[in-house]
Amino acid sequence: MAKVIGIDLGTTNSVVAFVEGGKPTVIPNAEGSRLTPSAVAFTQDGQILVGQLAKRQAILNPERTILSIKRHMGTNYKVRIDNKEYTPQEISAMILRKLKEDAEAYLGEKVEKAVITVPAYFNDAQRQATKEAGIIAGLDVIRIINEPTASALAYGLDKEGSQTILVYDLGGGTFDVSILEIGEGVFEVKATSGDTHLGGDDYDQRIMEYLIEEFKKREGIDLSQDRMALQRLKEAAEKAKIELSTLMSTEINLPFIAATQHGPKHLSVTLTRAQFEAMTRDLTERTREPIYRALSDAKLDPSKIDKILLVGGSTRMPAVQRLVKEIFNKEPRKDINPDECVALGAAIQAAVLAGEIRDIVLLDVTPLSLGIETLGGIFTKIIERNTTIPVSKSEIFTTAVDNQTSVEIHVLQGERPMAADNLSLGRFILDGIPPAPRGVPKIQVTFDIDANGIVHVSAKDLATNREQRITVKGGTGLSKEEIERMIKEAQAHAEEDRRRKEEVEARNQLDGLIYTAEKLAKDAAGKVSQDLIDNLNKTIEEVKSADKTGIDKIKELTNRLNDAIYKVSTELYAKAGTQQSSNNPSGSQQQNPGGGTIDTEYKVQ
Amino acid sequence: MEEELLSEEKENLPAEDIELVKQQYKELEDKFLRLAADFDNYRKRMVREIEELKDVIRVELIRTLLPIYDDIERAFCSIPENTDNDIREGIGMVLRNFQNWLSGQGVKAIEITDNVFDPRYHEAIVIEESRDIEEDKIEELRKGYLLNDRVIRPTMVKIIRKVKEGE
Repeated sequence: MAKVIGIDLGTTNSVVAFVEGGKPTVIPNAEGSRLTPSAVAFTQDGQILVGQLAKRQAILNPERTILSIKRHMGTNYKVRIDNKEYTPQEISAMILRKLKEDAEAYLGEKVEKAVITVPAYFNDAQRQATKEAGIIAGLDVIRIINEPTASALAYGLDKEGSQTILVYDLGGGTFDVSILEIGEGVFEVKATSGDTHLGGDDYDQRIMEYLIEEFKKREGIDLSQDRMALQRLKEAAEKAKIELSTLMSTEINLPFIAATQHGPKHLSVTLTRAQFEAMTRDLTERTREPIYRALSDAKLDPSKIDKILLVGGSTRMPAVQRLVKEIFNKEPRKDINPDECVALGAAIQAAVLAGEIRDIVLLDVTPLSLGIETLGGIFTKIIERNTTIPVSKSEIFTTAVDNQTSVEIHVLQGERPMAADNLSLGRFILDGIPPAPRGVPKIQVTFDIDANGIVHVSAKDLATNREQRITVKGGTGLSKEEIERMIKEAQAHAEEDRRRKEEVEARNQLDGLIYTAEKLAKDAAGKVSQDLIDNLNKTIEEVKSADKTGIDKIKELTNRLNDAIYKVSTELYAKAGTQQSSNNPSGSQQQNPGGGTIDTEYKVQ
Repeated sequence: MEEELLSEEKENLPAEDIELVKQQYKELEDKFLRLAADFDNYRKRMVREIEELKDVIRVELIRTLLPIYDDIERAFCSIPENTDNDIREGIGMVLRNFQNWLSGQGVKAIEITDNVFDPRYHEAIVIEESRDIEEDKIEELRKGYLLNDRVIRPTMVKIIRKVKEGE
């Protein structure tokens, strides 16, 4: 079956995506880039260039290079080239054809059908024109969908029940805000607003102007007259803007930006995020009014918006995110790449219409980790969260004390390192373990989650093959909210949990050491001087009765005990060593005299 | 023996049940085959994509290093040529080391050969007009580079147009 693609036909850039294995994926163009500039050029020698190539020659050929044709869709506007007129849909078709061909080259198969997105405010004529553009490009446009709807689909909001969402889309050159109502898989646009000439390019421009101004102040040279310098400034400005989304300050160094009679001049400016935000505050603030306009058109106040989606590359700027958060008093969703969100949603719609999504076997995952309680109340995970089910995993455990004949298996679910902080699913006892020193018995614990999410836990003593099992209805018992709460709690307590776990582990280690020490005191009796044995026994008693709270205290006790053990074992081995050498005084002579033995071995073969 | 048992069972099952089971079996087999095929394709694509990813990472790294290379080149060019200058010589060596590293990575500079603007390799940023030339010319402002015949940065050029008589 031929693949169906989703296309975000943008004003400045376009993106194409498809669904593979149930997941939408962006298709890179022939130049290897995920974004294709929505630019078309007619060269003097009759070639048509689309995308990056069209942009590269734009200055050479301005009257024959068409940018932002989307602004003219559905109007009578015509592009005149060499006495031939082109409609906006014909120009758009050239962009669509390149996207189609690049997708075909990437997928290695023909692409005939597509879903194309348009702004929510597009009227019938504009939508019709978009559809026609698709047909001219040789695509069967199976549906035109709204850009904010595509974003909501990319975020999977159609599966989350009735809600009202706001999509804040700040792209390279346009700003759109849309309010959607989602219910029963139906999307209704309640209001749209925006600013057709506001975007990331304006932010770059501000930084450039600032750099030019600074350089003029310092060196008295106007860089705005030098095309090469301007190009370097533009690249540096965009880089600085991107860096300031993650860093608090950035250094802009452009050595040899200008030359004078007195030698070369360099530009060196440090720009802080605060400075950048101050010089672009009015741009960010310009998005506020359209938001309120859309809210008032939809007759809603900010508290009635359930979710806010941030779309468009410029929403990566912290100032933009802050403004949205301030208006809605809510954290906006921004986890999907904002440049690709619309195309990904279009691809999902395309796959649904083509029936591809239905064909996929839906695989479930365990929402929380599963495991058992081990020595000292530690939660030992057997199956990690987000593991695809059905799945089965086993681990071998052992006993904690000598002659332990039964073990209790306490089954838990959760993300916290200590058992007590997680949800108990049940417990059972495996008995009949033959008496043995601690650490010797092998108990195999197996977790098995079937396709329905039901968890079977079994414990088996590998020596006797005695087995006990329990079946619990797994993750299904918890609501989505409870699961999210548990994951959040685990994150919130991560540091304190880690310390607690460390302490318990240290204490377990100390207990193990006491056991070793007691055994050594018995074994070494009579073989080393009694003083050392007495000292070891004294230390053991002291350590046993000492207060074992706090990791430092435990470590100190461990060191003390280790010292006492070390003294005994050193003497023990020293004596054993002299004994051995007296028993075997000619040890060195026993070595093989040469290669002869090896030869013999070969001959035997 | 086993066959006998099976045929006996078959006889006991109503025909419509057998049909249903057959249909369900077919559906499941289809689903399984699709999933197996999907997974196989996914595996193949992953192998391909990891290969491509290596390239993408390399291209990205080289692309971010190129402006620094440009700066060193600018520093070198700003020292007058005729001076017998140890600093010039030293920076020249730094530049050559960098150049050697680039060519070791498979990076090649784009050469302007026949004075014809080609948007596949060139990006025009300035246009000038001149009466003193025979025909249109292009002049390199910043070097462009190829990696395995793919443009990682186009050459930035100035276009000089010949002004015809009477213009």
